[in-house]
Amino acid sequence: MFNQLNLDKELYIFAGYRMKRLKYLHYKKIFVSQSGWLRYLFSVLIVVAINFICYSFYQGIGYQAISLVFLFTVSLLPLFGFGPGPTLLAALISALSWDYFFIPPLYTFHIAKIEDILMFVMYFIVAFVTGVLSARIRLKGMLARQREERTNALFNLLKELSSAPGIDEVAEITIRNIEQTFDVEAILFLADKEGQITNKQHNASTYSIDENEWHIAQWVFMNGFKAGKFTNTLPFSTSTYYPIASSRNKYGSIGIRTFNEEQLSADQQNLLDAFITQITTIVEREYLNDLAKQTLLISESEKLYKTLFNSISHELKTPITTIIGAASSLSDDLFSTNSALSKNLSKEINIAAERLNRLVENLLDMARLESGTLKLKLDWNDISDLVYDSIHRLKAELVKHKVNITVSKDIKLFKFDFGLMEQALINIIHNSVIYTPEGTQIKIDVKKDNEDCIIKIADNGPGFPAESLPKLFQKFYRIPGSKTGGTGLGLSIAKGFIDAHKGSIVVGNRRKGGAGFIIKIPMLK
Amino acid sequence: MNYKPTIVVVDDESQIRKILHITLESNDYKVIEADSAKNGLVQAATAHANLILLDLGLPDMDGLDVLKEIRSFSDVPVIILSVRNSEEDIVAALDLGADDYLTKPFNTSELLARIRVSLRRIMQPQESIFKNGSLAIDFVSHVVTKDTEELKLTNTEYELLLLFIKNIGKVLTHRFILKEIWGPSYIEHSQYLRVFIGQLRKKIESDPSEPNMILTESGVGYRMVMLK
Repeated sequence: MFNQLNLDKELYIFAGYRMKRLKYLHYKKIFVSQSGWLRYLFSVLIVVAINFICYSFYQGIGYQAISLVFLFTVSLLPLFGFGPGPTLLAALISALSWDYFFIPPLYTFHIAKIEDILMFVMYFIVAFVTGVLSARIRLKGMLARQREERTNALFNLLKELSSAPGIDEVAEITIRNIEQTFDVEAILFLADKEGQITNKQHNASTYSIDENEWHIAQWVFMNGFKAGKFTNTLPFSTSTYYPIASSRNKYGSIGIRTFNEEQLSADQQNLLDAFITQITTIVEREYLNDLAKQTLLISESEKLYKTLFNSISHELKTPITTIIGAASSLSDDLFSTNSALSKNLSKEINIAAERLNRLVENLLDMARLESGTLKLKLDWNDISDLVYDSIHRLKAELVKHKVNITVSKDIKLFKFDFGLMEQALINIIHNSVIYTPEGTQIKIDVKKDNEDCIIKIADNGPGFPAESLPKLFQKFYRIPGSKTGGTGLGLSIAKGFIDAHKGSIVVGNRRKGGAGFIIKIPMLK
Repeated sequence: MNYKPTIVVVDDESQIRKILHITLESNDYKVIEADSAKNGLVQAATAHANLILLDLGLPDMDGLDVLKEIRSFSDVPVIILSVRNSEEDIVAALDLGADDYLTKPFNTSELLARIRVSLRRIMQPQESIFKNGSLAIDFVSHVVTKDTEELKLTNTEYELLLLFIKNIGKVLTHRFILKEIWGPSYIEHSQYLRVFIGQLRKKIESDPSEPNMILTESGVGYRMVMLK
């Protein structure tokens, strides 16, 4: 088991060993990986073959022309993928064999004529330069291609990441891109909301690690340095770990494991660093987004709490104040002897109690909706029964309004919870009653639309301010400046009950003025 | 001394008992209070009550069980007091033989009206001709008239009307009506009931869309009221 102290110690112990191994790998890479031992062998074979061919025609064309054939061959080698090493070897062998087999005196490395020595030296230099230059051009081409591939890989990563909708998608894209670009396996640990990482890797990870390896990943997260295989810290682990951290915050760590135990090339390493930088930026973006959302949520819920507290306490206390005041006056001798006064006071008590009752019922309805335990008592019911019964229940409130009901004849029985649907209608009609002036006409229109029942409730009152329309069904929302009394619950309860029937309700202002609600009750099977 | 009907009030809330006591006594009823289901049962058995007001939410026993016990030894009218949103309990109580129900909060004039109806049902003898508003039914000749005009009712409609008249003022649950008219295997077929209620209303109500004789008790059932 590693703890942080041990990890720090190992960082120094393994440093020397790492450096030597790195240098060896560096040289091995330049000569082997770019050409391969096989290429050296091929270049030698080609030169030998040319030797044989030239030896057969040598009598006809003279030994000076042979040098041109050799030069031609050597200069062609880089074009066929031979690196600087094999090309130089070919140049050297061809120069020596030209000297040995073709320049008189034959079968010795001795050159008799001074111009032949000059030609030999010049041949060697030209072959050498040709070989090196062609190889370099090829290398440049290769590098350019590699750079392009890297740029493409980075571009693709960025493109995908920028359209990722959430942190999980970011993780998935990250791991997939790293896997494909570097041919490695990857494991990702992301910090949770409290900014801590746990040993539960992200689901998108392509392999898993043991307890010890996890502690390295954690160390990397805590300290913000890379560690693990091919680094100076804990090189004996199976993977290399990189921190995902910005100057502002730590977001997690990512582990990379190559398949063949080979280290990434310097270029790949650079690209990986670029990847991780981009990933960090995106993860940070996601994190900040979440933070902003949370902050909004908290401020919203605080606002809700405040609204609730203000409106409920006001709504509760007003009728209670009325009741207490009126009741204490009633027990006063002065009032008890005056029957007209005491009648008035009792009436006030009654009104206050009704208001209190309505509030409590609204709160209870809201609680039923919110608790998620609302069970519909579905039964066949007559829609016109529903409408007329709702109006009947609101008789006292409706005395100063005109109500006009039309129920289309083709309306048959519908399956719904009578109590809930009635409460929904009552809430909507009651809303019209209290926010429209006396004498306002309320029109209720019931008709059938395909299999659904449509109930339109419209008035010719002042209507709603346009900006409040989208918020009308929100809990505790009240139109700014509306008269006191009311909690902003009625319409949201109505919507809740209608939604429970898989129905819908929309609100709008009528063209001729006034508000209109359209309720749709689907035919439930 | 005048005869005073006795009413037993079973409710665990002393304030509600007190209010009911004052109201009922001032309306010439004799009131016996019971603060628990146990006391309520004792009073119901011993006090020769004419009517029982029973709260469903009692602490020591389920109100429905109290009702069941009462019905096991007495046919005394029982009016259920309950809170809103407990239609299921109300329907269960009515099916168990309760005569009527009131949801809290209720106003006392409504309560007094219901008590009068329940008491009258016991005392009223059957007559051969029943009149309610402009409607008249002759039980002997089976002729139903509205504003002296004879109505053509189907057998089922007539039976339905008869059931309402027999239980005038009383809430009839959907199940009860279905069982009485169509038989026990039809108690789930509430759509039959809606159709026939609609037809009956069309014939006997002066404004079928705004019925004032057969009223809808939301989520519970129907009630025929006596028109003044």
